[in-house]
Amino acid sequence: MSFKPILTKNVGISSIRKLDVYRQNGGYNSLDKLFKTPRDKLLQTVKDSGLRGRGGAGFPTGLKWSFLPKDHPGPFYLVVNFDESEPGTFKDRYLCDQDPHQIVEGVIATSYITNCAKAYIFIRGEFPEQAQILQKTVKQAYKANLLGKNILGSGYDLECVVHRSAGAYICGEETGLLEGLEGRRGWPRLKPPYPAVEGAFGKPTVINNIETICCVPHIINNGPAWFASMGTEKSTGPKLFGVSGHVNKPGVYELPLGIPCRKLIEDYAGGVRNGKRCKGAIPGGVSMGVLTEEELDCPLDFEGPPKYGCMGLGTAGVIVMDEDTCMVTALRNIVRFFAHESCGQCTPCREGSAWMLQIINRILAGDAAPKDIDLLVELADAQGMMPGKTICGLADGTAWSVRVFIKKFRNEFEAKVKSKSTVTV
Amino acid sequence: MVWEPKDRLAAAEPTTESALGHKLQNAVTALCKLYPTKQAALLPTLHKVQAELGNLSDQAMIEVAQILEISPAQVLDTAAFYDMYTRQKRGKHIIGVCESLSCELCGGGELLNALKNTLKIEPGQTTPDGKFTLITMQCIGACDFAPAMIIDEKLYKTVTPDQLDKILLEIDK
Amino acid sequence: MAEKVTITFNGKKLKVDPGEMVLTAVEKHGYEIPHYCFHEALSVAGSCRLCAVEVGYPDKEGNVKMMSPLVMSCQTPVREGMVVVSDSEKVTQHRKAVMEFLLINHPLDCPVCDQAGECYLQDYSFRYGRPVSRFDNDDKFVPPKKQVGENIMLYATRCILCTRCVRFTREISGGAELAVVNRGSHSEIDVFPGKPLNDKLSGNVVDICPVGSLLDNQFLFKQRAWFLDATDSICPRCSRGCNISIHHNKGVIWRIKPRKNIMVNGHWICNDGRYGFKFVHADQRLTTSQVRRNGKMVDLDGEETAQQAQHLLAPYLKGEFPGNVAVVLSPAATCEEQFLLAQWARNASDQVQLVSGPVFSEKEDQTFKGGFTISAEKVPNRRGVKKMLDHFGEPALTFPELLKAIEKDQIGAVWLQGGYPWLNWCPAENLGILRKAPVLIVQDILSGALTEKADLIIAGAAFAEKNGCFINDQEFCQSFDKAIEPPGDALDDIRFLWRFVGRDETFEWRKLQQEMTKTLGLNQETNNKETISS
Repeated sequence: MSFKPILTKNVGISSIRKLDVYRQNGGYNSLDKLFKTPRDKLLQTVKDSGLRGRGGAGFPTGLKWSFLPKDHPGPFYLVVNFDESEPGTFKDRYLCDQDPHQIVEGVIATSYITNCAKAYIFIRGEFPEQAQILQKTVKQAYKANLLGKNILGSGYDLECVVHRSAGAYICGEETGLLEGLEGRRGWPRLKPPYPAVEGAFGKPTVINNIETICCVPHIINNGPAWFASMGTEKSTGPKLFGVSGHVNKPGVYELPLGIPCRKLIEDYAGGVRNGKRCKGAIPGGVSMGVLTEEELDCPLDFEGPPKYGCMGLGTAGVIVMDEDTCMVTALRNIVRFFAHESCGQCTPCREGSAWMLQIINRILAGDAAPKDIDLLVELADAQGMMPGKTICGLADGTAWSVRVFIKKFRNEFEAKVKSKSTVTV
Repeated sequence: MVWEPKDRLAAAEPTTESALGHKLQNAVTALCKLYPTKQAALLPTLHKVQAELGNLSDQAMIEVAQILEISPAQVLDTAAFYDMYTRQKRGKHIIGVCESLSCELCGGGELLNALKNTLKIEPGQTTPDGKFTLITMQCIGACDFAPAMIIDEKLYKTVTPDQLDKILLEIDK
Repeated sequence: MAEKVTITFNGKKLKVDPGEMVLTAVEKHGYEIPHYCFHEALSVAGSCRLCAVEVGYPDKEGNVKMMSPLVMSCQTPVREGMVVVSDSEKVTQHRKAVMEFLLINHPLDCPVCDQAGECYLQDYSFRYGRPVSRFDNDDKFVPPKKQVGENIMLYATRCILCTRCVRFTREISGGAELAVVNRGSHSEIDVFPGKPLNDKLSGNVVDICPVGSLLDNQFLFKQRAWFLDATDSICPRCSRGCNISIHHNKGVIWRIKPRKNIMVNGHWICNDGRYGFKFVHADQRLTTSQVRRNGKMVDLDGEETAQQAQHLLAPYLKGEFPGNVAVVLSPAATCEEQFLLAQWARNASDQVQLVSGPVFSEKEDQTFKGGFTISAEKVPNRRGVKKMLDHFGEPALTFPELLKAIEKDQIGAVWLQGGYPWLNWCPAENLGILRKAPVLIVQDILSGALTEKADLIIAGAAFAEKNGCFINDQEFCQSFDKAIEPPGDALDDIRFLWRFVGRDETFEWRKLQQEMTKTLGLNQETNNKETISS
């Protein structure tokens, strides 16, 4: 059964970045229905579709939008999270490369439903080409009265600005993003208050991932039942899966939520390269943990990976590691990333991630004792927003990756520790 | 020596000349119009200033602070936080090699070593002739083209060490 | 005043103000929740993660359901029925972890660090931390020491990144000189090169730094904190009358710290007051009263000084010599000194002129972003003088009027109360005029051009060397305590005046204060005895 692409339906159409070509392919059709439907009905449509955030947390989108205050003079802001920085994730870049107008259509739809006056597209600094593409796309939209004052005669005004970040993974965290938008260092804010109540510039703010936004016009066009008919009961809709690492065909694959990881790797991404077996696969960006080869039947939806000891689906960026991969080295790469990206605001993450990196380096150098493995796990348990120990979820990513890698591949860590170590304790 | 205190009382690079010049100053003022607060224009401002001048000198940051009506320390606070801003002058071409997991799995380590050997510098350093600065980058969102590099804001896909000589020659034209 | 709510803290029921944060609510009941980044005068950061507690609520059946994640008590407002636990295994382990994390990059500097003895890292490590650290890597992050202000040295290795100092410069002083630079475990505090932390509130960052990272150059390596005694006092450098604590040892003042008084100075003092005590130990301090005899100055003890003063003034009081007696009440003197002298003057003769001593002011008050104000008026007790003049009435002169009167030969003897906390307070052009008076008695603390002209020098005590009170620019009468002895044979002005005016009873300062308060109808602001709580 071949899945009919939705978000990627325009991939490969030549000159799709041009407004008239996009329109010829059904682009901006959702705006007709959009401006004719009352806002509360539109909000209910999104709620009924079961759409969950595609940025990593999987929070129900309609519910998130309903947190906006009812009686507020405004203005409300939409801030689009294009700070895609989770290792293994490139689907948002792909969407921008392949069909940038879809993003703008999603911005207009989301802004209208939530009554936002201005939209900022917060794009990571390391996507200069994509920033240029977006700038051009936004400019075309302004020219065609799809943005600006009185869009298509609807009476709705919307301004849109592309805002480039400058190299910080933590700005993908929604309040770190707001800090970066407001010109400060990307230190996440304390919650409450949540951005829906007090966000950008102190005003109610909607923050959503690029892919989430892109789903909205399709939901408007085809209805919530259609969207919910794809995927699973709790994880509805199509999803962009990124596959990278030791596979023959790395890339973005649009499939309904719930596809088993093994199927994604073997049937779509060409299987493990060089005829090797898979030793492990990270289900959704390095924050999530890892699945062993036996666990690859794990369905890739929001409920699946937790059943196999991982934090969640995350960004659905699958990283495949073959049988020759040293898991300790892989974990070192991950912890090095988190130590580099820790913003430094709160004590456990700031000091803990650097300490964990040093311990893993010592393990790799053969300079560690068996107790260091337990120490690593203990340090991981001292981190995390979920147990209330840190301000944001970066520390949870560090904690889960360390905990799960050690749990599932402990023998590799123990082998390294015993190999050259002269320490007896 | 670590125990000798750094003197912050005096400016590190005193100068009487403007670093930004009128054109840049006007560009910064125009950026302010896109945001409800002036400070929010800081990130795009620093990108613009660095693109124009090559690095964020002390004098440049002082002038940015004046236009945005914040203190120079607040500009420094933000500038020093993000990877892409540099206070130091760098080479003509910035070669950024991704060192995250997918790229490392696909040969990113070998690519970095090859560059280190060819350019004879470590990441963070600039070649003596001032042509190339080598830096490592964190997942640049090009895992489908691992191992990937960004040179001067252009993405290079699935780079192998044997391609390096040609690439370096091309960008140095 | 909203009704209190009841919470349970470690099993004890506490009545607390609604909407207050758990941290401050339980602190008011005398319980400690360790914390670094929280400061009641600054915005909530919630970043040190040390103040974690477990929180729960009773369900419909009354069973308490504790929430699974820890919450930070500095950012959690109390609610009716809230159950707070800080002594559980979860909280204890978390505190141990945070302390261990903070210490891995912290240098073992206690033997050479000023903060030892008053260091929250030492205290909380001892109370809540691990006895041994498991960090056996030597790769500590070692950022350099920085001179971030003329008076402020930043030992960046000791910093725990609580960011109190950064928030202070952004919210209270408004200069925003301090910033965090870099990211993650390489974060440090710094200033912009060439834009140092030099404003008048800079010294406060040393107070709020919980560790020995931001240190005062003027106090550096001078005294160990545990040798210092603290005495409550009031700053004499301007009419704001900030509440201070004098830290002294062996009769020497080593530093001044603020005392919290929400109505007057909040938690802060300015550098004028913080560093403005040096005059107390200046070489020019008058160490003995003297009288001019045959052109030479002869030392006197307290008894003799009083007699000499009586002797010099008597002829003018009795009218035997022409000219009135003028008593200049100093706005730098305590209310009690002004009171005794003015009372004596009125009782001695209805011809004695009460003169309001010169007041030195700048153009304007200086107000900072958070509301802290440095008064333009650089004397502490002009309002005391006004109270005395209002009460004891005419005849009264202003200082310029006195000078005119001297020039017209209307004044026979001048008792010039001084005590201003700087050298040569008397403008040079006035010296010649004052000397024209046949008798010039100067009650002061520093020698200089004025005392050289005096017939009788009464060597007095500086503010730190006597009890007294000042009336500040909000009309609060604030009393302060004696910290150290005056130098040499200098006199405690109050006791001297008590003897001089002929009081028989044993001197009791509190009784005098009560008498004065009652007579004048003063608003006695009781001192807020809360010493600076970090």
